[in-house]
Amino acid sequence: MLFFIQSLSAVILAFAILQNLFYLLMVVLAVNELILNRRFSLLARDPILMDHHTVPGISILVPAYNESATIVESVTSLLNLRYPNYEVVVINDGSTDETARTLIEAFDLRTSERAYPRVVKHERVRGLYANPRYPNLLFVDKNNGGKADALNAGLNVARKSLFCAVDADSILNPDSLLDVVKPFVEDPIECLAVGGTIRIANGSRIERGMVTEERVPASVLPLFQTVEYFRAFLLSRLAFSNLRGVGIISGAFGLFKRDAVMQIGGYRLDTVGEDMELVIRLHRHAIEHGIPYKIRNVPEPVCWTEAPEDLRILRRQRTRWQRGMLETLFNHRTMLFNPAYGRMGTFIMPYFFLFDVVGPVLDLVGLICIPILFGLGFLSPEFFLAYFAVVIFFGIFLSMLSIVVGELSLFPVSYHI
Amino acid sequence: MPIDGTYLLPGASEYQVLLLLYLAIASVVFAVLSVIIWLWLILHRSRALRREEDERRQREELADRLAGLLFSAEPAAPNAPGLVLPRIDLGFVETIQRIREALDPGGRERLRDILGRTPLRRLSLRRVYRGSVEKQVIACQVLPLFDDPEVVHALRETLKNHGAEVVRIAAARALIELDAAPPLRVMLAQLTADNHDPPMIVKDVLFRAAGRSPEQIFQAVCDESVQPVLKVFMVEALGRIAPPGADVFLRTFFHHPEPGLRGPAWEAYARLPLNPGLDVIDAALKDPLPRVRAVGVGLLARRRDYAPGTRITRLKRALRDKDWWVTYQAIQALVRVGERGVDALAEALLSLSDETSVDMALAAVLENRRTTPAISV
Repeated sequence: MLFFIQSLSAVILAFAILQNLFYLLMVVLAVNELILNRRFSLLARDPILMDHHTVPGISILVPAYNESATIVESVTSLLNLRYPNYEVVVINDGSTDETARTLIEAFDLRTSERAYPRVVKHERVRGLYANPRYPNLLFVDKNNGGKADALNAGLNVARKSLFCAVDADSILNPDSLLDVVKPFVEDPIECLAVGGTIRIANGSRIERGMVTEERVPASVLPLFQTVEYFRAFLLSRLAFSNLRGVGIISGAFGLFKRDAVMQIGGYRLDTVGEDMELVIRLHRHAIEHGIPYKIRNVPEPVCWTEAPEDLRILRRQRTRWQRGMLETLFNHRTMLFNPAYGRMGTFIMPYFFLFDVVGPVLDLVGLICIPILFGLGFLSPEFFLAYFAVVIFFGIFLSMLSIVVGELSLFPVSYHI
Repeated sequence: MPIDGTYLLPGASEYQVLLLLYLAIASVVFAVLSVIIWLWLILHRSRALRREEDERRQREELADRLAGLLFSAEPAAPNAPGLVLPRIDLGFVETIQRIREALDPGGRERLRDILGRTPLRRLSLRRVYRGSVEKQVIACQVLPLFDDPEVVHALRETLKNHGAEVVRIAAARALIELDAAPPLRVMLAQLTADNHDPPMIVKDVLFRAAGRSPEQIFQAVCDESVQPVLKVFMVEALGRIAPPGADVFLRTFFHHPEPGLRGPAWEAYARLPLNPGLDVIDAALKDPLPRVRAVGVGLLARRRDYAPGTRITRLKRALRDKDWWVTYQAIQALVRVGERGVDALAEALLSLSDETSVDMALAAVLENRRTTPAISV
């Protein structure tokens, strides 16, 4: 019994030390990535990037399901982005409300005869709609098949070399595409996908589909998530980007090379975490075929999203995320701890497995064990309190560091860090 | 002193507790330090933002200064007292010259930088229809900077329907710069409305659209004292009006050492309704200037009377050009050749080393092939 308790304690303690050391390492890597990125930003904000012939075209894919209340404002905001060569493809995924009619009436859309190749599979498209007055807007009306299915339809219909998958309720900065396209301009050959930093819009002032004034959320739950987003979306993804191994690009905003995604069959329809699954599959395909590639993340806040304000929705969201991750790790289990997959197999995927899958289980075991061990007299109160203080204060320190990195990412690009 | 519960770790002692306490204290200290750094960064960022705001103001002042250079407080026409008009004594070339003089070297790109950082394209599009006449004129002058079909549409509408002649003239000038002006006869009617004696400024616009007489153009281009920018305009005008003998004249510029003149000469030549021989096309395809090679590809695509094989061989070579614009032109030309061209393009896909080229070629093949090639999933 004693040996078991000691062994379990040693495992949990070693795990906690390892986890926190990793987090610290990630801060260092994230700051390094931020500095590297800003060096290039000075070039990227050069007006030459606004020239038609220097930036690749982008198709923004907006899957919409029952979004009639917000769809017009979202599309208007997307049509006003500052980018010289882009189109907005709105895909109505068989909405049961008035989404299609609202959009068709608002933009006076007519049936379009646009031809497109059926490279990736999706549900039947009922019709394409466009209006010459909005040459960069296309509306696809299709049968219901889920978000991934809608994105696949958008992939086929899109005409630009890059595509940007966004949620219909995502709020984009006017310069989002310019910010996120930088890695593609830097390396148009090898860059396959780029993620952007997602920020929480709760509490901020939003006018005409754009965040005009950034504020902290008023309620507690989104406030916690704001710090969490700093750590998860900014810190860890920047660190992974520095290691050239970004494993997740959020479904709320991500830019991909269209032909590379079509080559691997588009989005998978049998998973709830289609965004992570796609990125892992891109890694896998490139590594297995010996294709040099890059998947990056940019630190600029490019996309704003509303965080859940009540526990029920939060639980549903986190369940979906966790299920998506488990499915992806299971589907690509042969990559785990496999040196043949380089950093992805030996570092990035084990990181997800250890800290996002095993970690919560160990946390739970630890929390259950504390009162039991204390009751049995196996736990030293002094040791427990000291350890508890380390966990809490080190966590606060890491969160503060992530806020500092977030603050750094907001500096004007003309400023040298 | 041994402590209770040493079972937690083998050999756990007060030293471990002390170590943990030190770690906790260090974490608190670092967290406090992070807060201080954060607050310092917030202060610093607000300063950086203020500085950026100052720069923005400077840019706006510069834009105002430019407007001051291009507009006169004096009434420019006797029949429009009190109306601020663009300086009629400034031709297009002089206007551009003034803008360039007012700016650092970098000319057009710099202007685009100044104006492009603001959402000026949309602003200008709106101002074509709204705002004071001066602003509408400025909007027309700015719009050609943005290569956008919406701009052409807005300018054409302005030229056709705008009530103020001065705005219509500005729109006409912008359309000429965009090479999207309507035929001369139509433009004259739209510009002058009921005025049977078009004012000088309208004649100036028409001159720019049509070019001077060919003899004058030949002389101007050969004249050493004429500014190079003006020479370029003259060469372009030759392509537009296509006077007899223009091709012979333009061919003398095919090997001109000045790329700024050689490129427009080739482009003007390509506009002439001619069917150039293979020697001319090959010379264009071998030129070090990408825009000339692109012209060569365009000329080749035009020669439908050549055997497809002759065209395809050269176009496939152009596909591997180091400039993507030439590659793009070659892809489009191969598509225009027909089914054999698309097949050749599909075959060449594997030999293309540049990802962008593969991207473009694949898109063209997918769009134009009758059956979609299989893609392994």
